[in-house]
Amino acid sequence: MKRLGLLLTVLLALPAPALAQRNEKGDSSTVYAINLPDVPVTLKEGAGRELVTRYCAICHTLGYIPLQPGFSQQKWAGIVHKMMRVYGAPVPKEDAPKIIEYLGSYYGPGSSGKGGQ
Amino acid sequence: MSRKNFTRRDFLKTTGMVSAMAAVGTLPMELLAAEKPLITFPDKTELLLLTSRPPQLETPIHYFRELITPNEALFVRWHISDIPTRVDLGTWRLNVGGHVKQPLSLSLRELKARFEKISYTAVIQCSGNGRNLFDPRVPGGQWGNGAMGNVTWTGARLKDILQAAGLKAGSVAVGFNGLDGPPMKTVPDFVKSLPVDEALGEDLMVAYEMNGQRLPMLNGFPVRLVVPGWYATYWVKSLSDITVLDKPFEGFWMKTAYRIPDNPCACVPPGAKPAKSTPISRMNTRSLIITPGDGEKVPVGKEIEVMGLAFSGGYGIKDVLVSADGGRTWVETRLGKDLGKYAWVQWRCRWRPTKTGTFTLMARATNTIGESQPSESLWNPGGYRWNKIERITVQAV
Repeated sequence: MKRLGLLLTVLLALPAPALAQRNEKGDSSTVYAINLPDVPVTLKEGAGRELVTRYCAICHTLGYIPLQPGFSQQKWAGIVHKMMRVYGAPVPKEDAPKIIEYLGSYYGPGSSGKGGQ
Repeated sequence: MSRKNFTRRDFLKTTGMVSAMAAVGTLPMELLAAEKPLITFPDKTELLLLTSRPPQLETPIHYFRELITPNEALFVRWHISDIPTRVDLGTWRLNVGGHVKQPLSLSLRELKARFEKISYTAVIQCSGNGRNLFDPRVPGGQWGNGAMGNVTWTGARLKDILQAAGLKAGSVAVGFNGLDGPPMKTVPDFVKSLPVDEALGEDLMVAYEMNGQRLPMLNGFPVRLVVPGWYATYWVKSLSDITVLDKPFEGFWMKTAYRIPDNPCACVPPGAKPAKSTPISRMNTRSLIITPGDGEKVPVGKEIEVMGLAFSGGYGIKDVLVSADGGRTWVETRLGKDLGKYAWVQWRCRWRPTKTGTFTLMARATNTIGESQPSESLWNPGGYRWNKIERITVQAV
């Protein structure tokens, strides 16, 4: 952890805006940038995991899944259909039931839902 | 307890790079919060991780012992995953356009030089703060009580900026867009709007400082909208475009998302769908007990301090009452320093458990227009506006 903290400290040692405002011509001293940490998430092994990983991770971390409080398969179906209908998740029609079954089986009632990733 | 430890260890194994910082204190409340792993993001201290892409980070509750929430400890919440990680102030501009007489394109320096600098302390609170307390549980970011903070904001009055651009007759709404973008074209961009009368309110601000410092990137560098008294969904981060509209705004994040039941309690029976909905707006009144922590052991016969915070949506706090007998009798608390109607106030009282056993401590705040807290949660499908009277238990030993 100390190493990560150090790494981020180094990444943050980029020009501060106070300094940046000296120059508004667009050279590098006006740039403020950060690097976001990569936080890989591995879902529980099971049929359908590969599909979930392929489609859900296009837009967001898979960490949203273990974060939820162990919903029923019916509730998960509502969420998956919302992702497809409202946000345009490109899930092929025949794959949606497999994704829903995976979520209901491996992140169904009894999952914690308190921690996130 | 073992499950909590397992969660953290399991997480560490998965990532190999995340902090398992030693518990900051020994309060059970903090151990509870530690069920979410701690992680350090740029500009931020170790916060509780909900999700990493887009980032959603929660403030550990021990920071609320302080009147002002430090910048590095303030919660983080983004909606769509293409978030700004690089801003060039040489080319960055705040654009004001749409139904105006004189469109503006302001550099940060111009924004600071041209408009009067104002400053006040205001609570920023996510609409979904406390979502993981609802029963039945609802989907979304499973926040505990850490999606809020009390921050001193400094910036330019939104009204002054809008008046410099000059609203044309027939302006009805103002839209606000930031530098964040959707990961796919089909995902609606995060754009919010306010009715024009609200946008011209005296206290709304385009903030370029938090607690006297520049904004952390993850809290909306270089500027964010501040709508004091309203939920943070309106406080658009990394604000880049203000658009005055001559008709109501129809975007997804107003018309479909962030809506509450359109009735006096903004609630429906648990699990039900509201017949009519309306955009979420002003915050309700709430309070939180910070010390002692939930489940803590306290010495019998000895006086201890009970301390917490309370705030409302722009009407200050009139009083906070505490009960140590499950709500049968209530005592008044002493309110701390008053930082204004948008800030939270700390409250304190002395309490002496007279016998051994379990005591239920409750706190109930009332604001200056009589708005208080319900004894049962007011359920809604989005898991918004949690403000049930808090109950914690302590063991007198």
